[in-house]
Amino acid sequence: MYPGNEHTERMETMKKFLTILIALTLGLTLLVPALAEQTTELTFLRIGNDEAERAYWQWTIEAFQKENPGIVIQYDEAAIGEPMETKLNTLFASGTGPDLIGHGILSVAQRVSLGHYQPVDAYFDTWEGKDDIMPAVLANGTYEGKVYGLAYSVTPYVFAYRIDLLEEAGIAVPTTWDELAMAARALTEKDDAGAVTFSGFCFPQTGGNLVELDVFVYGNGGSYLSADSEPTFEGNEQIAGALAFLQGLLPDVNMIYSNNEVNPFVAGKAAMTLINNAALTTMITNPEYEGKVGLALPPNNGTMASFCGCNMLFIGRDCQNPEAAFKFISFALGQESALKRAEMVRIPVTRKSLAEQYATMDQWNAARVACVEYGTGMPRVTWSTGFQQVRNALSQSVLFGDVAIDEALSQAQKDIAFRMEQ
Amino acid sequence: MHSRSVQAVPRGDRAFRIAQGMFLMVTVLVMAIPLVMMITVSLQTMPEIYASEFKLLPAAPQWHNYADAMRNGDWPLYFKNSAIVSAITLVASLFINAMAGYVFARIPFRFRQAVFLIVLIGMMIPPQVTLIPVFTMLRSFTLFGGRSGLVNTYWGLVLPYIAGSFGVFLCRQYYQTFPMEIDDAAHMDGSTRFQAFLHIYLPLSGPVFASLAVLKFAGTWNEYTWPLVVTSGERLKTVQLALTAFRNEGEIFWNQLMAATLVVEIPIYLVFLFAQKHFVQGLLMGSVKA
Repeated sequence: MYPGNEHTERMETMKKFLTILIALTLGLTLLVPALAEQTTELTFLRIGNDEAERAYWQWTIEAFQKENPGIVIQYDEAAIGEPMETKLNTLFASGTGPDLIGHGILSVAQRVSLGHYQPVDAYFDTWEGKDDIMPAVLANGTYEGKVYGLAYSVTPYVFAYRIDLLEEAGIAVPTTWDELAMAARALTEKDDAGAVTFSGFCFPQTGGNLVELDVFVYGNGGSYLSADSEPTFEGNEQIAGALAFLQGLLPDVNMIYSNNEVNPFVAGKAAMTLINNAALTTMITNPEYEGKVGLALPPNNGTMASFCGCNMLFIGRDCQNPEAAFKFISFALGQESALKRAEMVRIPVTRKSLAEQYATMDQWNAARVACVEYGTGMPRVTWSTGFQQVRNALSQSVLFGDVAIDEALSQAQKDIAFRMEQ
Repeated sequence: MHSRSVQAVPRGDRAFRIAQGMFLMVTVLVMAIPLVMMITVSLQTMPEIYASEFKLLPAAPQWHNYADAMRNGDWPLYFKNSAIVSAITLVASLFINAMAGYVFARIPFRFRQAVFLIVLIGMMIPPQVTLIPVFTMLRSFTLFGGRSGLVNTYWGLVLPYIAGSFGVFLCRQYYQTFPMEIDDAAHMDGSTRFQAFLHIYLPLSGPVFASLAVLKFAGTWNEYTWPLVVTSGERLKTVQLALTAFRNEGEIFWNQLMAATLVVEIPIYLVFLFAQKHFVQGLLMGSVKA
């Protein structure tokens, strides 16, 4: 046997000492928050963590704090996708959600339903910049009649084309579907076996979110949702029209790719495409393509439209000082900050009064702003993730499979109903 | 007859060796291809990466990609944070796992088997399940960290890693292979349990510590989710969090990302090289009782 009586006594004393220590620690732990100094400190969690965007937010926070010495912003960020959701979910689940949240459209319906975002109408209604926000942009943060988020960052899909190739072929920049089809066929190159070696117009087969189809649906005057936000796939003539146009064109001109990967246009293998404005940076700054890449609003079938994603500023559920939080939002969306942002991050402005000034900053900024003004984002519904999957399946089955359009639309309606039930 | 039988054995042996060699070569290739691709991409320009034709070797190696990657953020700080967290975790967890393993292997107490089974259950619970409870718990330690508790502190980063069912299991299996006579001799010499553990068991734990050290270090160094949740801002950012900064809304800067990833993995290669001799030995040691 190891322990003797002396050892046992020592152990007992040790136990008592430890018990008192633990009790004291717990007691002080409960006391500390009450004794802590009260300051207006706002936590801010933003989606994305690239250097350029971080530099902009550091500038904004510094400028805001200088103007509002009583408020301190604690800035944090999380990478796009799962990391942001994991971090937000953990913080909300522990009752310590951020005061300010920079997040995307897809989060609106879901997080509003969960009670994670506060409506900002009371502050927004009295804000001087209220009527200056582009209506299409403002709509992204509105849910069931209330304003929850205000956009600070927009990512429009632009129609990108090769100036040199169009000029060489004597073709004007297409503005309609017919012109697009004609130009795409004229610029496509094929090998002896008939396989496309250079695409006139490239369109993704796969990808995480096939918003390229949305551009055509909206450009045909269509929508996936009814006025009361119900899905309207079955018998939808505008969606059917967009699919029929693409079905007739793509086999002749397309080079298959995934929109998660490199677009053939950026790789110099296509003459025209629809692409996220931000994804063009590498190509535009490449000396090889200097003066060869042009941007425009996507060609349409009667309705000027594009897809435009955006990130917005929200006030979180656990924010104790929403007034101070909105003060920061209005500062970040103010004219000075918005122009600084356009300059630092090269992202289009969201205020009408700044559009003209922004257009003078770069040759193609007017096209970028047009894509924002006529842009529509993802549907703001709680089943938006399900919508994404169903719309992707619709695009793939009709454009790259052999499913008839009517049949695919009926199936999409059934699938979305099933996902909504889930 | 004799010569035929002598020839027959080596022929089979040779065939087996050739097959074995080919299998190993294929395995090495499969394992090496991602690494080769990482090195190649880290030395390419973005247009080269985006080009439709695949090229294994860059036209002109872009060594500056490494410098550019290390300029994207405060990398000395990220390395310092990861090193501190990994080092403290490593030392503390080896000691605690060894102590727990020793208790389960050597000290008889009521419900020992049941408690050990509960510890083993810890190996079956994915960390995602315990993420929120652990976070909430650390947040409530306001004495040490102020209003946010241990959130956004080194302690918050380290504490959840220190305990580990696998480490306890490995040490317990290892210590069970020690003869009981060691304990009896220590007792007769007047050692307490703790002294016996400290002066006899710990010095003999080299192989099991080498395995655990590699696993623990790699696990802590590569951990992403917990630092993501428990830290905020730049001050405590670890290298894995910093690696996600090479993308924006529209594109991923693959060349810099691969360059930074290769640099970040260097400490793991070094730790493995240092401990590889004992690594497999330690893992297998507890599996067969002496």
